[in-house]
This record gives sequence, structure tokens and C-alpha cells, in this order.
Amino acid sequence: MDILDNLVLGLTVALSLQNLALCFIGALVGTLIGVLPGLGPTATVAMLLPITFYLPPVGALIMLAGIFYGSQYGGSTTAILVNIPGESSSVVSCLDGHAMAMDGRAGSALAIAALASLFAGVVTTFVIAIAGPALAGVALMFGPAEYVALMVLGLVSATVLTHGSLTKGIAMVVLGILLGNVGTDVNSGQIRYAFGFPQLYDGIDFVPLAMGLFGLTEIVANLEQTQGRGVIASVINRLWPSREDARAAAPAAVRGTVLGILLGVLPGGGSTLASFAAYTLEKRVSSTPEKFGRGAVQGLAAPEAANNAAAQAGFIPMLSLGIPPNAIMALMIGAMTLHGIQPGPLVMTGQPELFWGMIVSMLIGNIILVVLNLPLIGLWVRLLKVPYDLLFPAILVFCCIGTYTLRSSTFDVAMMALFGVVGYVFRKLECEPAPLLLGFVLGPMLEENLQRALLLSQGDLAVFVTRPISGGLLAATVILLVLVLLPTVKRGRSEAFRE
Amino acid sequence: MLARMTSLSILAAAVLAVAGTGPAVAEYPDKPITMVVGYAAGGGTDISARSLAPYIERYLGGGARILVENRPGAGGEIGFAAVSDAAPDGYTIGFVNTPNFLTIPIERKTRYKVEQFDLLANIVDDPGAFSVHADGPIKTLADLVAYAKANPNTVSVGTTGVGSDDHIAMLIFQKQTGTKLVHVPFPGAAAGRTALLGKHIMVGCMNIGEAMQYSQGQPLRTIGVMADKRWSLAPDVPTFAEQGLPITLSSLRGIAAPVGLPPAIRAKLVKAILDAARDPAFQAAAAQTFQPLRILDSAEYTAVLKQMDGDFRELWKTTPWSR
Amino acid sequence: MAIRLRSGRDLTAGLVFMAVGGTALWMSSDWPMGTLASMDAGYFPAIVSSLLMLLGAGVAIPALRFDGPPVESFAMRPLLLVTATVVVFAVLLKYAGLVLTIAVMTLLASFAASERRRLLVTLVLGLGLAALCVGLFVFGLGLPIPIWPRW
Repeated sequence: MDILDNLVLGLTVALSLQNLALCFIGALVGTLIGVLPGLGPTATVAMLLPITFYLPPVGALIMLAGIFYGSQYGGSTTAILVNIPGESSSVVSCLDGHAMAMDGRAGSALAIAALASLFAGVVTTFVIAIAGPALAGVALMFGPAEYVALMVLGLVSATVLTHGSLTKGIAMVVLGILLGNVGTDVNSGQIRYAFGFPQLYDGIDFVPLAMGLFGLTEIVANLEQTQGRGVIASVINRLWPSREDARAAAPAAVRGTVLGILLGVLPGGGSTLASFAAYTLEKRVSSTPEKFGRGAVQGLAAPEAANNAAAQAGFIPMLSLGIPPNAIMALMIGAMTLHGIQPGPLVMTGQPELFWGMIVSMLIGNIILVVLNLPLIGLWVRLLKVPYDLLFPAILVFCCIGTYTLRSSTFDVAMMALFGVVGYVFRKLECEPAPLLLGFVLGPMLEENLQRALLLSQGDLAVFVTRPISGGLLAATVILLVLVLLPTVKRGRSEAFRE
Repeated sequence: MLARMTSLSILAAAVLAVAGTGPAVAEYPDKPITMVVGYAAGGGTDISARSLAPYIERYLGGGARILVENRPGAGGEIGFAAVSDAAPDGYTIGFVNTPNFLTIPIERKTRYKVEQFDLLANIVDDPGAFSVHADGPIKTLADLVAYAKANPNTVSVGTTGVGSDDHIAMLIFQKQTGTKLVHVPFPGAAAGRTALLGKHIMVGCMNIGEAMQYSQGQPLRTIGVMADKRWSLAPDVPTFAEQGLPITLSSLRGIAAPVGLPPAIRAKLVKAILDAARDPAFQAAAAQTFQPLRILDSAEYTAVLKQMDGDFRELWKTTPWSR
Repeated sequence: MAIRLRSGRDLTAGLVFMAVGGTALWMSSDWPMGTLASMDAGYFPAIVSSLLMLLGAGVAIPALRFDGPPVESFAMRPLLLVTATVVVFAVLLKYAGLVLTIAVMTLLASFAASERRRLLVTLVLGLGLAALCVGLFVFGLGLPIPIWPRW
């Protein structure tokens, strides 16, 4: 058994005292960074890269990987407790996770997020071990046309997130794409929608946008709903998920994991797309879709499983093809290069102890994370008992510092304030911010691939239909749209009759 | 008495003067130095920066730290502009890449001017090359020309952007062979290479160092290098000239700072960079990561760039590479 | 016949989308369009902003025909105070340093809550928060944030 041998090799590497310690430090630092709103793992990994130069390559990568998934994990905690998504893949966790917390089920939500992530992490590790190289081929099958189709599917499915009008949901996605256009055009160097601010030449950053739309808006709405007294959550009845919750979460976590692995293999937006897609899928298969957004367990378990699975599956193209799916993995490639290791198919055969050591360390890292975090749940939940008028200034301060430290820019903090107002107006107009954020993240990639696909086809739009994968994805988009539209049309008619 | 007072005050002034300038240099760097790379992580310039940075840190001494910051986009312009916009305090330096650094201001209005840069030292000289997927029928440049002539406007060539060395190489190739190719810009060599591996483009026009790095174990075939002679680390790859196409074009990667550095800081920085580049350990690392080195001091580097700038301005008159 | 305003909320939302889309479309006309086969900087924004205008119309027009809720009133007090608190950070930090900035922020934020605590409590909260942040971010994580005012 090759796989068994490989896993044993990986275990011996990952269980060495030094690597175990590095994995623990990585997970711990990652959790801390993830919990603090706005402090991204990208900045941290960049700060730590020079240090890793003095560590052996396996240890360095194990620690960087630990920071990466640790921060994803910590980010979910903040999303659930105070409705602030630290990065794009935890946006969806805000929807039902925070609703559960408001419902007095914060402990349950945190535990479910942890266990769903752990499940996804373990499964993904074995999938990578068994089918990693084969899955890497999938990434190569995706050319520009396929990416365009995939993103269209992702963006359309995001509209399913909304409770209200479908048109409004699509409009928010499109508005997000437009916001993503701000900055310097990658192809021509043209500066677009910067209004003369040099700070906007590199585009709007995700963090001030997300923290404004979600975090600040949430604070204002909380103060409004409670006339400023602000009791945040109802009485916390239990710390652990109920049996029904666990039973509902399990199949959702499985579906989320599968989606996460499939989408995570694709470079660019994989884990964001995976978490949104998983949420959409759950809402569609659920017999009670009206509960989504109001504390549905499935709506938390599935995206949490998906984003963790996708984050780990992202290591497949990175290690086997040298394709970084996100900025953090690009930095890890930098770390490997510093040690004279060029990521590519030779890593697996030429550096088996590095490849398998890292894979197994992810398994261990996930377990460390859960062991580290389950006892903390009680502490986090107690945080919600702090009177809101004392808690919210602290949240505000943390948001400001997090945004500021991204690039030492007070301009970004002012942008966050602006987006806070915008988010509040949208809330009053019942326009939901989650689809906007997905459009914002995927928009630039959509434009780049659309340009490239049409360049290659010499302006022939048929490529999107004639290429099998892209055609299939677009067909799925149409089916999804029809499924979503049918009930709306019916409802529209009944409303018309009533009139 | 008075004389003593004067000499005392002169002494005091001298001490103050030394104290005034002294600590600034002795303390430099007292915070991390940002090294801007105008291309995505994992590309050739990024690897140059990340492999050299630790050695510069060592030669600067005093626990100096250099943070490599990737600012990709617009053929490198975003990164170059980040350097030119920074304060000339020695805490922001960056890699500048020819020809992009010189050609972008020729073709369009840019956010930086070449004169805003103090060219400190050149590190790498990486000649261009054409690579194809190993599964394909194309094995030589002659094969490529024949194919492109039979199928005009179908051969897609991935480059690192409009006005990049790759793009200009492609245009010169078109002109010399009378072919029509399709130009597909990518934000970095790594993305272009992925598209080539997936057979979404036919030809990857990237530098020989990048091509060699990527081809380890990958089904890529490099069919020509745009240098005077074959590269010692890739002796099997024939030059363009050997195949009857006199094209030599390369990308110089050097380090620059915004103009106006305090002289003492500049001297310390330049010395550290040159010492780092000449360190045998770095040179070994460079060979391992396929970086063809060509170390030039500030004066040589500036002269070479001035010469190249003139050449590109001439070329622009006959073969504008931008629409 | 005068158009009766049926759903103020959706009408407003639609008009907002149309206004943003229209402005974006107008701005994008400054940039070269290129062709479908070779898109330039203006092509994609033009498509996207046109689409936004259309969708805005799609939201606004039904709002004229069907009944719906009006726009809820805005809670101006928390909105303005929370926004002002964040703006204080943006304006003050580089001059006043982290400690003073946080103190001012907590003081300002305390007005957002309708039942205010005593000034002493607010001050203690502000100073405690400042100490925590300096310890965590400046000393713990080594982030380059000024602590004290710069005169």
C-alpha cells in the first residue's frame, strides 16, 4: 500500500517534536490573528516569511500552513460572534452563524463550525493523499472560458442567498463587480473609478468593505433595535449543539466538504466560491429554506466545511503544479523557493517527506485547532454577556486598528466608515450585502478571464457554449435560474391577482 | 579665552554635526525596508527578490529586515509607481525590470517617470525564450513559423503584459517571420505557464530562467532562447540566432530607489546590495533557482539603461508595440 | 393620472442602483472601449454599469405597480455617532497616537447608547481598551502604530 507508506512517512515527519511545536504555534498564532477583525493572514505570513528562512523547509511550511488554516478558523469565530467577516470565505458564516448567536445558540454555532471544519479537514487530507495528483489535472482543464462560466454560475447562485427580491440580489452582485473595477486595470494600466485618490489606485481592499458593510452596519442596527441599551443576544441556553442540530448539520457538512474539495482545487476564489456554493446548495435541498438567514444550522455547517476543505484542497495545485490559489499560498511558494524547492510535480517524488509531512501536519493541525478552541467556546460566549454599550466601542476600536494595519492607511479606515453608512442604507432598503461581496471578489477575475477567452476565440462568444466544461456550467446556471425564478413568477402572479 | 570659546564651540558644533548625521546612518535601517516587486509572487522577479533579500539583510547588519511586497499589475507599472511615490528615505526600494520599466512610459502616460528612480544595482539578466507544450508537434522555431503561416491568427502567445519584453519579442518575431500571432497578456509568468500547461495557449513567451524553473518535471519544451549564446544552465536550448532569427532580447532586473536618498544611507544600501549579489552563497542559490546573474554597479547599470532606452525609442518609431 | 407611490423602499433601491449605474457608465465613456475580441479598459465597466441600470429599473418599475413597505426611518443618532467614532480614528491616529485616539473614540461612542453610563466608567473603559490595544498590537504583534501624540 503506497498510500499507507506515504501516510506513515508523513506521520513520522509531522510528529517530530519540532514540527509538532511549529504546527501548534502556527495554529495558535493563526487563531489569534483570525479572531482579531481585519488582521489578515496574508500580512502575517508576509511578516513571518523572513523568520521561516531559518527553519528547515518542512517546518517552515507546516507553520505557515498552520497560520493559514488557524486564521480561517479564528475568522469564523468573529463572524459568528460579532458579524464581522475577516475574509471573503467567512462572509457566508455570518449569515446563519451570527443569527444563531443572536438566538442564544452562540456556543452551539461555534461548536458546529469547529466540528464541521474538523470533519472537512480530515476528509480532505485523505482525499489529497489518495487522489491529489489526479485532482491537480482538474485545475489545468480550466481555461479562461471555463473560469468565466464558473464565475457566472457562482455569481448567479449568490442571489439565492437573499430572502427578498431576486432582482435586488442580482443588482447587488453587479454593484459588487463594479466596485471591484475600482483601481488600475491589469491589462491596460488605465485607472478606473479612483476619483483622483491615489489610495484607490490599487483598488478597494476587501477588509474595509466587508467590515463596513457587515460590522459597522450591525453595530448601528443593534443600537437602533435596542434603543441604544443593546442587549445583544437572548439568554444563552446551552453551550453544546442539541441532538437535532447535530443531526441536521452532519449531512450538510458532508455536502459542503465535497463542494469545497472540488472548487478548492481551482486556483483563484476557490474557497470563497465554495462557501457561497455550499450555502446555496443547502438552501436549495432544504425542506425549510425560509429558516436560512435566521439561524439554520445547515447554513453554517456547510460553508464552514466547504471553506476549510477548499483551503486545504488548494494545496493540491500549489504543491503539484506550483499554482498558488491565493496570496497566502503564493507566499508559501516564496518560502519554498527560498529553500531552493521549486513547487511542481517533482516535489511529490523528489521531496516526499516535505509533501507528505505537510499533508499529515494539516490533519494534526486541525485536531490541534479543535482541542485549542472547544474549551475557548465558553469564554467567547461569555464575551456576548458583556453589556453591549461596553462591548461595541471595543469592537469599533479593533475594526479600526485591523483596517489601519493592512497597509498603514487611515484612508482605508475612512473608507470603512463610508461603507458602514452605505451598508446601513442598504439594510434599510432590504438589499443584502453578501452577494455584493462575492461580486466584488470575483469581478476582477471575471473581467480578466472574459477578456482572455474572447481574445483566444477572436471575439466568438460561442466558446462559452461549445467547450464542454464551460457549456455544462452555463447550463447549470440556467437550470438554477429557472429553479429560482419559478416560485418568484408564481408569487408575482398571485400578488398581481390580489391587486 | 575667546579663542578657547571659539574652538570649544567649533568642537561642539562638530560633535553636534556628527551626532546629527551619525546616528541616522548608524541606525539605518531601524525599521523594516519594503522591497516592492511589480509582479505576482512565484514569478521570476519575485524569486530574485526573495532569494536576494536575506543576503542584503545580512550585509546591512544590525538585524535589518526586508519585506518583499508584491504589487502586480499593468506590466509592472503599479509596482514601479509604488517605488517612485515613496519617500526617498531608504525604506522603500524595489525591483525594476527592463524593458517594461523603459517601454511603458514610451507607449502611454504613466504614474512614474524613469528620472524619478535612482538605479542602485543590476542583479539579473534573463534572456527571453519561447516554450510550447511537449505534447504538441512543434519542436523548433521553424515548425512554429510554418504552423503560424498555415494558420494565421490562431497561434496564441502568452506574455507578461503589454509592452513587456515578452510582448516586444513576440512583435519582433512576427515582423521578422511575417506571421500573425494572437497576443494574450497575463499578470505574471506563473499564470501564463499554467495556461500553457493546460494547453489554453500555444506558446509561452517567458524568460529562459523562468522557463527552466517551470519545466522541471513539467511537459514543457523550450524551443529557443533570445541570447547571443546558449545558457550554461540550459545547454540544450538553441538560440534564436542559431535558428536563423537574429533576435536578442532580455530582461534586466535590478534594484532602484526613489531619487534623493541621503548619501550616507545610499552608500550603505548600495554596498550591501552589491556585497549580497556577489556572495557565493547567493550565487549558488541563484543557480539553483535558474537566475542568470549580471551584476552591474549603479553607474554601469544607469548607462546600460540609457542605451536601451534610446534603442526602444527607435523601435517604437518603426514597430509600436501598443495599439 | 398621477403615479401613486406604492413601494417606497423598492423604488428608492431601484433609483439608487440606476443612479450608480448611470454615473459609472458615464465615467467609463472616458476610457478606450476596444472591441469584443480585444476589450480595453472601458468595455467591461460599460457592460457592468449598463446592467446595473437595467436591474435598477427592474427593481424600481414594479415598485410603482405593487404595494410594498416604505423606507424605514433612519436611526440617525447611532449612525452618525458610530461613523464619527471611526472617522475620529482615521483623522486623529497619526497625530494623537493610539492611546488618546481610543480615549476620544470611547467617549464619543458612549453618546450612541441612549442610557449613558457615568463618565468615569467610560474613561476607565477607554483607558483599559487603550492599554489592551497597545499591549496586543504594538508590543505583541509588533505593528507599526504610533502610541503617543506627536507634537
